Amino acid sequence: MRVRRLEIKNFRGIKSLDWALPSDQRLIVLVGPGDSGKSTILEAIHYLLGDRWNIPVSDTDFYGVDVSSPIVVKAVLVDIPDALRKENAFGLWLSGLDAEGVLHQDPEDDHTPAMIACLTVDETLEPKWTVERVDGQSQVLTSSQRHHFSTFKVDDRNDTQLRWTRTSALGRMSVRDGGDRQALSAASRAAQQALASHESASLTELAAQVQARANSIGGGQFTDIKPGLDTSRSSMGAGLALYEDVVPLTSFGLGSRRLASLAIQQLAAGSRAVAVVDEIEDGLEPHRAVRLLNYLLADDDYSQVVVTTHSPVVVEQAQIANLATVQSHDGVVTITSLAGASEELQRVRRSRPSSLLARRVIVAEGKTEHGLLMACLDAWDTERIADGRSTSAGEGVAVQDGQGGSEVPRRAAALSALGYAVAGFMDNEDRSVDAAVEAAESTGVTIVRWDTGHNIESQICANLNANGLTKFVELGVERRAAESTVLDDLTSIDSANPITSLDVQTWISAGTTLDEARDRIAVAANKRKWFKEVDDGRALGEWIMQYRTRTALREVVRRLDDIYAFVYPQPLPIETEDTEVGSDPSAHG
Amino acid sequence: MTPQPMDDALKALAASLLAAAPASVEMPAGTGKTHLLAAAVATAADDSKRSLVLTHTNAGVDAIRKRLRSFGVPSGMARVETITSWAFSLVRAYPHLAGIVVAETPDWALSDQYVEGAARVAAATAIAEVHATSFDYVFVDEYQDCTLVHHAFITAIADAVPRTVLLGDRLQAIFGFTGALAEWDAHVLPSFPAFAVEPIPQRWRGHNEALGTWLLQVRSHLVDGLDFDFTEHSVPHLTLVTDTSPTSVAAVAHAFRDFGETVLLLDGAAWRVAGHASRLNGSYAVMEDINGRFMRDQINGNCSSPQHPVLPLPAPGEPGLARWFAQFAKACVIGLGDLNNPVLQRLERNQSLTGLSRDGIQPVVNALEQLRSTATYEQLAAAAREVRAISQVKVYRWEAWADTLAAIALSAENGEPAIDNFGRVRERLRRQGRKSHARIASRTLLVKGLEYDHVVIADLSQFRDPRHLYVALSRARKSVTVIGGSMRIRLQNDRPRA
Repeated sequence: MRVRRLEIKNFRGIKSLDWALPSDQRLIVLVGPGDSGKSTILEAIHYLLGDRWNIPVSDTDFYGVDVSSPIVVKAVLVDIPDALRKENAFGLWLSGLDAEGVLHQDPEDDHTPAMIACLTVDETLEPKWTVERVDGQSQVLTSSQRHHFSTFKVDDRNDTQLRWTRTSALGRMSVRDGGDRQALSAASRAAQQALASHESASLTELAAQVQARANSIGGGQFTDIKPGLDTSRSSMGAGLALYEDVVPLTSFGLGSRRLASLAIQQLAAGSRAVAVVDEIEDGLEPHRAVRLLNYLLADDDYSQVVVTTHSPVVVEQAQIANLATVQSHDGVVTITSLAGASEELQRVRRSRPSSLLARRVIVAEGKTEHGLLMACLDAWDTERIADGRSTSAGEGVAVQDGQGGSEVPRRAAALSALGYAVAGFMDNEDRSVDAAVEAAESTGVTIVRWDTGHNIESQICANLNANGLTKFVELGVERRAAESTVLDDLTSIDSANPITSLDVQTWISAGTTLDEARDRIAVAANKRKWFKEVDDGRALGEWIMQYRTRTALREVVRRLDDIYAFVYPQPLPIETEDTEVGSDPSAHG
Repeated sequence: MTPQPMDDALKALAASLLAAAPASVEMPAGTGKTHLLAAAVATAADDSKRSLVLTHTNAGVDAIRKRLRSFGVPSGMARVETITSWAFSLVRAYPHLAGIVVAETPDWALSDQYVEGAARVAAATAIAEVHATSFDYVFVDEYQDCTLVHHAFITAIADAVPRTVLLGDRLQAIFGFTGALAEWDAHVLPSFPAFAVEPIPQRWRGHNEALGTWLLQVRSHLVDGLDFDFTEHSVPHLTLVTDTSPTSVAAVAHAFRDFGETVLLLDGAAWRVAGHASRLNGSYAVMEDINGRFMRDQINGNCSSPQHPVLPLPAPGEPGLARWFAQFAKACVIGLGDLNNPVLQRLERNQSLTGLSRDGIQPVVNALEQLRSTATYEQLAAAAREVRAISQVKVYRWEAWADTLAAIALSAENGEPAIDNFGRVRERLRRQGRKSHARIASRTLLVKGLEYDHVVIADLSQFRDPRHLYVALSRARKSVTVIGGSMRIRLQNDRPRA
């Protein structure tokens, strides 16, 4: 079974969502900034399709804590399990889904037969599961019928799955096999004395299956999984649980417990299962998270897997077609699949996967600008923490190296189209990118450029006096490690007039004009790559922040203020005193 | 029904029938066709295979369900429905596929539309998958009664569930008024090869086994175009009566003294049946057709016969309610001859009956006068009670009498038109079956599938269609009495009307 469309209304942080899931992808990796509703989406799927007969819903689960608007989770399901397609289940309750994804009352021959499953919770907090038709008729959908959806969720409350209980997957599998009821009760009784004296072949066998699967999912960790006596919950009496050698699985690390839980629940759900996994990397080293991702991608026992991730490694390693970004604007959530994503987006994902996990993204010209911005953010954050205001991390800001000025507007526009707030930070010396800049700006991207004709070095030098230029050259010496190298750099610009002193005042005294000196230094810094690595850019940024009150850097700082305004968006109107912050350099100086 | 575990022979037969599917099974009346069907469903259920069982009547559905219970088939393993009710379910669920939109409650007068629509639903890919997923086997009982419309529907289901078994007996194929029937040779056998079963007369065990054996032998003689002469057949308790006068018929009909036994008196046409019943003074009750055509005519009125127009039932408060009731009572009851023209004409002119005296039925005249002055349905019910209170007045159209009055009583309660309430009353009958009467006057069309101790064929000349004759004869467990001016008839199939 697969979900082809998901609608959510008034559930937790989601006011509305209407998501057409990709029909050709088994694995969907939801990425996006925190609080965009990713986990809520998984919980909604689990609430709707899981087989729990009741779900804990409280007033706070309603969007805006407004219980007058009912929670609705509705899914269009295809590849409906046989048991539900029978005439005494929902064989007479099918709908038709056409090629454009439009639902029809009846499943006509050019449609895919579909079933509309619906969960509604109104102010009585009583969850109601139904199957609906397009004309609004509905029929009760029971917990035992939902069991056939084979849908499970791996989350942090997974320890139950590592024990044999009446409701756990292990317990149900044992009962389903038949005859093991006896073994279970016998084992429980034997538990009063010693489990070691009672050998249950089928429980051991099941444990072996769990081990094999858990290992194939997670890359081989368990060697001796077996049933054992769990006395840790003494208040509930002793029970059966999975052990690895002498250690109960419940005592393993989070990642291992999650892997084992996933293995068990999948075994119980059988083939064609739908799994939802919140934060797939939780508790796992990056390589194990990636291994799990690839396992889920390849395992035919799943018909659909929806996961969320906050891990750049997972974003980077996933197939682009599996990724979908989640964006929320005032509770209206949109999900955009990256299948068929533009070249630019693919480059964004490769070079800086964490951009896709951010809420606000700055695409910078290159490493220099990237480093410079990092230094600025550090400085600004430090001040804001002291004032008790939000930091750039809190605002969900990521800086991405655009790898060249021509890339900046294109990547920015691609990210903007996915719903991200995007700024571009770039030089202003290449006229061939102007058209792309304009296009990006028209889609709502903020583009911050130096004065016309300037790159970062020339913009900084543009208004410095001899003293300022000397300090800038000193910074160059720090980055180039030796005075002689810098002297050589400066000389190379005009070898007919070799430079012998790093004190620019001496040049002026020798007849060089201030403009000539500015130009020579800016060109040397640029050509000889004084600040080409991220660390160099960071040093440059720290230098600027150190001198940012100087009028000579006014034009540079003005651009950084624009960035500041983007990074820390205006607070809500109620805090009107702060709204001037971004536009007044002295306020954060 | 007492539990009857399947014996090994039946189990083996059922298993080989399942293995033979798609197949058709032709079995004579009373030889355990439904029994075999139930055994096949039970055998399939033992193997965790589900069955869809379709038949024509609710009585048939009940009979099959009872047998399945007696074989211990879990209810989830078989869905037993009438063809039209399953058709209605499909059409109701998928109106676009069906091409018709239907109301929430079925109107069985539209059965053919339902079945036609359902054939389109069943042919849709998604619904074919529903059938295929839901059922491993399909059984259709009394297939000889399937019209071509039914046949198209069943064929669509069989396309999805190839292991389909059709059971029936072409010698019991009686043409109703619903359209041409599917032909066994042309429609059934090509896709559903015959599965041969040695017929064993079951119905007559402990009653008249010789009659059962004879009914098997006689089948080969009951053929379109042949002459059939009863005098050439000698069977215990087959009685031939050549005097066709009403007194002779009455003598035969009243000769059955054991009121624990059931007697069926058959004639060809509805009006002939009613004539017998009235002459028999109410001792035989007229069985009405399932739609209640007679009662519908009484309620709606019918002007097709100018000499005897039937007035429609007036609404409460309207003049003419008393006149209507007098007409209705005379149509259902014997012994109201004195409600003659003078009475009826006064009622027609809405004149008082005061002063008219009718010995013996004076309370009825008084009640009619009360109904004339107080034209309510409650008053009509009171008049009906007065009719029943007079000992020499006998209701012979018992079913019509009771159901029509029940519909009118419902209208007095809910204010809805009596014809709609009549539909509800008959729907209840469909679900619960008829009240059983020990003495029934009827037509072959209405008694298919039913069993009686004794059968009286009131006029052999009306039974020239071999299928009618066979159905008539094979209803009897113990005795058959044939009344006819000649005991030799030329057999001739009725032709369906174009």
